[in-house]
Amino acid sequence: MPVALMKLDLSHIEHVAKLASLSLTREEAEAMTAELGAILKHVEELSSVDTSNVTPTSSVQLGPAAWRRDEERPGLSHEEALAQAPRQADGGFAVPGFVEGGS
Amino acid sequence: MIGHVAEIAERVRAGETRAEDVARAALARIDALDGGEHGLHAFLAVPREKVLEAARAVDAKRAAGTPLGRLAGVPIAIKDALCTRGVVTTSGSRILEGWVPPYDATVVARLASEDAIAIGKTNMDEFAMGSSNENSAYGAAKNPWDTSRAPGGSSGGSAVAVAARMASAALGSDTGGSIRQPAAFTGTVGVKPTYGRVSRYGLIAFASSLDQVGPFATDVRGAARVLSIIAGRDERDATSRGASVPDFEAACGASVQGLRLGVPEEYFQEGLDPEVAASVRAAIDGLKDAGCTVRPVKLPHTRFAVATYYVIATAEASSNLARFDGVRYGLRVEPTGGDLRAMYGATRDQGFGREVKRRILLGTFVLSAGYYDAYYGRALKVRTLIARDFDAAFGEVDAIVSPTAPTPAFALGEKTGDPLSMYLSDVYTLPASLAGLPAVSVPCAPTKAGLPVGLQIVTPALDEARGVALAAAWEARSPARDAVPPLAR
Repeated sequence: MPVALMKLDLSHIEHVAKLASLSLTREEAEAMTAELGAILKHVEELSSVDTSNVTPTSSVQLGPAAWRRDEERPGLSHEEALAQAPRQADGGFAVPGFVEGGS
Repeated sequence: MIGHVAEIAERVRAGETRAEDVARAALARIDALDGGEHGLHAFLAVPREKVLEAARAVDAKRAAGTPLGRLAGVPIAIKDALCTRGVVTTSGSRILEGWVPPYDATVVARLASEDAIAIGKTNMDEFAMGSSNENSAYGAAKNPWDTSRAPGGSSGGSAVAVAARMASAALGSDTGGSIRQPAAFTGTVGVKPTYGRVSRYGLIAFASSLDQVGPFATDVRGAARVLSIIAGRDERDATSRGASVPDFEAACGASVQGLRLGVPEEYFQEGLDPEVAASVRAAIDGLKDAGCTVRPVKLPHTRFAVATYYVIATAEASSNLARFDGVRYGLRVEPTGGDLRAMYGATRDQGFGREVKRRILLGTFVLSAGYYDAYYGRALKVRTLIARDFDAAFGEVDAIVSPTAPTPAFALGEKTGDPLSMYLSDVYTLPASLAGLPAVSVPCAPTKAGLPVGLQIVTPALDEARGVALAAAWEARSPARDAVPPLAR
């Protein structure tokens, strides 16, 4: 895994934080760079395992998934669904603007 | 002191004790032991009025001649990762501070349907990410055997509630050892069921290919009874399995004569505390006296379990925790003049603690373009090899026995500065999690300093009953049976 073995630097952390929608302070990002660097160094031992012809296991399956019947049934009421919203307006969740001219 | 599950249920059913009296006794113990600066801090919420109401309802049911359930009046603590309708549920995080779920987790509803009393919500590492309880946004629970030590994690509060006899049983969740390790650290019985055995509807997700709900109890029989009730298919969780659920309690007292136990040499190597090793070997000898045979087995990929787990679990967590965005529930932080993305970023920065951020970043990194194959893809393949190790071992033996954790409870603060050393403390519980296998932790002889030690028993998928039988056989001989921490006597 030659690409992955490159050293983790601050720019990686800043990029990943953006992907994860985490606003980190510069100080936090620097500390995370060091901490994650140490963890990834340990993780690199996986590169010593021969995984040729090994199928991946994303989940341990014991038989087929058990679906319930696809039929309509009562769920949360509109009121219950909105009850814990930090901000609501017009019977919906209110958020800061994210398009030009929004509010 | 709050007694064993079966004792309380039988007495309440027979009318020898009122459920309300048991509930009041449990609340009084929580008052005496849990609160204040020197308290154990096992609970994050104790809904007194609801507790007493539920207990009175059980008493009224009995008075009306309605047969009572198998957990009649039994006080059971609920990990705060499980949703409880009308009772604040935080998963140990600031981002869910004050959140009141509009529904009950299926496991919580099943306990109630057997007339159990949900006594309170227990402290935990934030979003179940941790091995010591120190990642709780509300301060760590303390180990009742030595309050300067960690109770283990992430279900530390549930373990402490049971160890200090504030509850007869508790629900926890186990992703990489979060039931078994705190059970070992606190001298309680903990069961991680087979992946898919128990519904996760209403469990706040951490790593969905690993998370599993299970019981803690003061004795094996109590844990087995709770497991029999929470196990089984739930149409609200497509990953819950339809396999028939045996009466696990009936397995307590079943003969273990002739069962073949495997001792994995990889679990008895460098890093294992010598006192833990001696205690666990004595427990294995005890099972030999009970009629089991013992032989060495090999689980050669054990040493890769920590790396494999921390790639897979963080990848899944980074996806699961994307839902906490400040829009629909929980904390919202809106920077002045900021847009939607700024709100997401600020909410998540303030709402999540350090370890959660660390894992979200790691998980996002191992899934990101250019790194996915080298980290996540490879970890999934090594997971296959770890599972195959168990398949091969179970061709030769009926159960695998080992220490639950390499050391007794470590000191609070001892590992917080070094995340990797904290991760490495999960080395014996992670492999069974990655393979989806059931495992029990049952107390064995304490260390000289009086700290509990756990014996871990791993069995093939869906064979919790055999693990329960072995745990009960050992418990009957264990010097740690019914041991209660001095401060809780």
